[in-house]
Amino acid sequence: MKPRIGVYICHCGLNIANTVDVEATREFARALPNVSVARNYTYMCSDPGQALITNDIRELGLTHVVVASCSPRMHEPTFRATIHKAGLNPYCLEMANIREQCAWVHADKKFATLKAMDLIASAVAKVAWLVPLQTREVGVTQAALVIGGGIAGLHAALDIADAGFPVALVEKQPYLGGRVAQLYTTFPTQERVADLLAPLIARVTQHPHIRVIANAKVEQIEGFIGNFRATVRTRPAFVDATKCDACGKCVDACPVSVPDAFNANLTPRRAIYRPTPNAPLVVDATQCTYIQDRVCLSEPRCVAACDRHAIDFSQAETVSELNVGAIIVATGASAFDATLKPELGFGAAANVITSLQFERLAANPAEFAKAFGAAKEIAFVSCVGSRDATTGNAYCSRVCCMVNAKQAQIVKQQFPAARVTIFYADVRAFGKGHEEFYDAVRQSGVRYRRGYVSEVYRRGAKMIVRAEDTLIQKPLEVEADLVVLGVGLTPRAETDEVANLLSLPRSGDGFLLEIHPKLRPVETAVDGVFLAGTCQGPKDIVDTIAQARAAASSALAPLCRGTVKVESATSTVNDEMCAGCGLCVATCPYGAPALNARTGKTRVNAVLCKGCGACAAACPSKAIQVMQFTPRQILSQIAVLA
Amino acid sequence: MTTRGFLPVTNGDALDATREFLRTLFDKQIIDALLVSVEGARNAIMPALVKNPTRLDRANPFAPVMPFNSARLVSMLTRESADVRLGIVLRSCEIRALIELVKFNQAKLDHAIIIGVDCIGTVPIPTYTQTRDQTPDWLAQVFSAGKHGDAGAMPLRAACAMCEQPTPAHADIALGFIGVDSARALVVELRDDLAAQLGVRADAADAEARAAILANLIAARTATRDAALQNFRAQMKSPDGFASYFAACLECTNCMNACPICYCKECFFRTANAEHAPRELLRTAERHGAVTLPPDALLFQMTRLNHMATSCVGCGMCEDACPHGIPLTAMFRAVGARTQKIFDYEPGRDVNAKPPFMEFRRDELQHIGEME
Repeated sequence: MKPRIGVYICHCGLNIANTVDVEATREFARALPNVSVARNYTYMCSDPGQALITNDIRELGLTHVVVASCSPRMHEPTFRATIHKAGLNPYCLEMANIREQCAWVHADKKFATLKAMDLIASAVAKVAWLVPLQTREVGVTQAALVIGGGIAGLHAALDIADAGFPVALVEKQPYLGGRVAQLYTTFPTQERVADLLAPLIARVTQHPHIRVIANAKVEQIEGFIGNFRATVRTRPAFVDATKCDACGKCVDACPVSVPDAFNANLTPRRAIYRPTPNAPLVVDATQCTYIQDRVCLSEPRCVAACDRHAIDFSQAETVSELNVGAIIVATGASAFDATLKPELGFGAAANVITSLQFERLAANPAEFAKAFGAAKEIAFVSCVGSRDATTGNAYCSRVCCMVNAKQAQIVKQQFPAARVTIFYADVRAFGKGHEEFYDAVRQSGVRYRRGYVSEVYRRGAKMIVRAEDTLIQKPLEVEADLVVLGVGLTPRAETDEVANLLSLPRSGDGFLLEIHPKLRPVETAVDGVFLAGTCQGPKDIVDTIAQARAAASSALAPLCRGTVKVESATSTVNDEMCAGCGLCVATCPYGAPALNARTGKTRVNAVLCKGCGACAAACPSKAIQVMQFTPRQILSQIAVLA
Repeated sequence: MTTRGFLPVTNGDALDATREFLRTLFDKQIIDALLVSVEGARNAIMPALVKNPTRLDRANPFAPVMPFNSARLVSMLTRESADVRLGIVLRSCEIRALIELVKFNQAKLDHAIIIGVDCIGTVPIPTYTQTRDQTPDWLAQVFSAGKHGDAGAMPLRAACAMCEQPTPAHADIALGFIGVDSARALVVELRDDLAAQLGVRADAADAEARAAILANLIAARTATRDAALQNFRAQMKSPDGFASYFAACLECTNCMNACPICYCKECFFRTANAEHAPRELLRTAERHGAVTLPPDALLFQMTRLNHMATSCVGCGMCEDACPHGIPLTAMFRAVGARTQKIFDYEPGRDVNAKPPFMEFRRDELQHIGEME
């Protein structure tokens, strides 16, 4: 049957019509081979616009439709639904992008019109070759995996579990709470973090639908949306929690001393330790000299010290397999390593600390009084490792302005006599209540000096902060007894591992990449995998929680529905042509093609295929082709332009 | 580990000694079958799959002619695993092509014994077949050129004149005549276990002299290559350089058929996908005034270049096959050299090295645009 094609040219108000002669274009399109009707209209995506298309399909018996309007990323789903409504297969549609790729980027109306004609002729040539495809659905395992037990992961897990679906929450550390657990208070309300976190963690651990797998790592993820299989390796605690009474004798006996990362390396800890002040004891296998077969050798001192025989080195790693339908990545961020800015004196002088160390000190009143009680002058430096090309971090940390303000307020409240100066680049107080909070801090006597700090160095017992005051444009030096560096957020060192585990792309700043910052902010390039919190970019707690709950709600969609639609325009293999070279297998980022051991030829798992076309481009003989983008279709498109 | 020694030659007949050596491989049950070039009717030298060792009396792996890059035949013989131990006598460029084919799953070396031979260069097939009975005969010329490491007197194929890898790498057994007096002995380097089986004793005699002669030969070949590549690049400087290079291309696809690595079951350009509707051609002719036919010659050549540039081992079979003598070797070597450099990839060097198309490195292709 000869194809009967309808061409619909959209004015997009004046977006297209201003630059493209839509009437001339319509006349041109009408004369193209196989075109039965060509129309133009102000807004083709409006109800009356769509009605033009559906009426023509019914009355003129159209077999294929070309819509010349905006990018297919904008309205392809709209028009697929339109023609489907009138009884055509939704895949018998081709879009000619005469807005983004024509009207918007050209000024000369004559040339823009000629280009629009070419684009339409090209789309008409292709559309005649399009074949109907079947929409396919697959079942969904109605359970979720949340990777990361910080504030984002906790909230996401709770929302999904509250909706009635089982959740596995995997945390690398032996405790829940993540980065936030290290903080003392929140801004702008100065609430104690412990008061926020403890009930949240309790809800999670007691939730009947949540299985917390702490001290564990997701090692492998296979499958696709609705049908993921994750392999999780759990490290043993080596301490039997039912016997341990947390007396601490084992800790005293342990010969190991390493910096306590939870305490921002302010204090040392042992190999057997409490990961947080309230957490049960665990053994850090990477440091334990018995496990590493060094100092303790055959006689672990902790075992000897324990009256209750609670330490059990026979505990082994366990590996579990989880079947889930959706995955939320909430792996968090790291604080910027201030030693990368050696000119600011961190590491060289004991009275230069990071804002994270401030939080740890503040959480312990005695330590805090010891560190801050005697200080007369305290300087805060903002933007350390943020908005700073020398560190490669061009982005704003989105937290350190408010952290500085909050910490300055804590100092002022506890030690009103102290003189507190904050060196800032700009104060970014964009969140709800932030500007008001910043005003209050300023009025409490904290001095704000707009200046880029070039150096922090020791002079006698004092630290000198050298900066340029950018308002009066003069260099200045301020003496300080204590300097607090407002460190920014950086991607975790393990981000690469996480990205590889799930085939997730990263943005230029190194954080994990969402599909679109506005249209699809928690979705990733991998269907069924969602992002929550600072793994996607710097965020404060409020934004993190909002995004976590958004991710949970997005993950719930396939879980609730129980089935998911998968891409119809997938790749297929012509066995006669396939030489079995494996280029497609090597090229596919989703693991869809595989060489069949018996035939030596490629087979495509259509459920894994996203229709990206990498395989088809790689295949030298085009034995593998993507529906809707076959060589025949594309070459027809090119031929009319040649 | 390998043993280096000598294969003694009696009566000054190195070819006879080689035939005897190949027979021994059957006798010692090192191989069950052998792929080797054999002298046929009308002076033809053609590869043959030999099962009966008595048929080796016509074997001639040294004839300076290469009708096939036999890697292609090894692909045909080994695509399915067999329990036959197949010996294959190959030149360096054939081994390198074979290694590329293995990477693309087009050949298997599990049960293969590669017998590599030195190659001082080959001459075009018509030159060889039409002058078989000259004096001195071709074989004498080959061994003489080999002894001195100078094939200047032979009318070498363009690919051979710029070949800087005259000795085989990756061979289980390598037979050499370059830099040695092949009237007395051939140098043989082989796996220790095979040396023990075949009774080859380690002997490092003349190793330095051979190395020096090889170094000279390679230096001369490299200079020829560089000049050829430079000449090609100069031609590409003009705006229609590439198009004019292929002005005479018929799109006959002979180059593709001759290429040992071009492995598609069926070339895309021979499928219905690549056919043009008459209406399309008329429309193009209308737009441009005229259209050159066949319409896809340049696209075909660009596609082959795109597919083969990283794997091309420079054997030059494509150029031999071209009815219009388009100097394809220089193009593939020039484009190949640059492409391979970008990806730090040398075809035929390592069977475990992944072709650039099969591997993504985060740090690759940082510089896009003009090279050099």
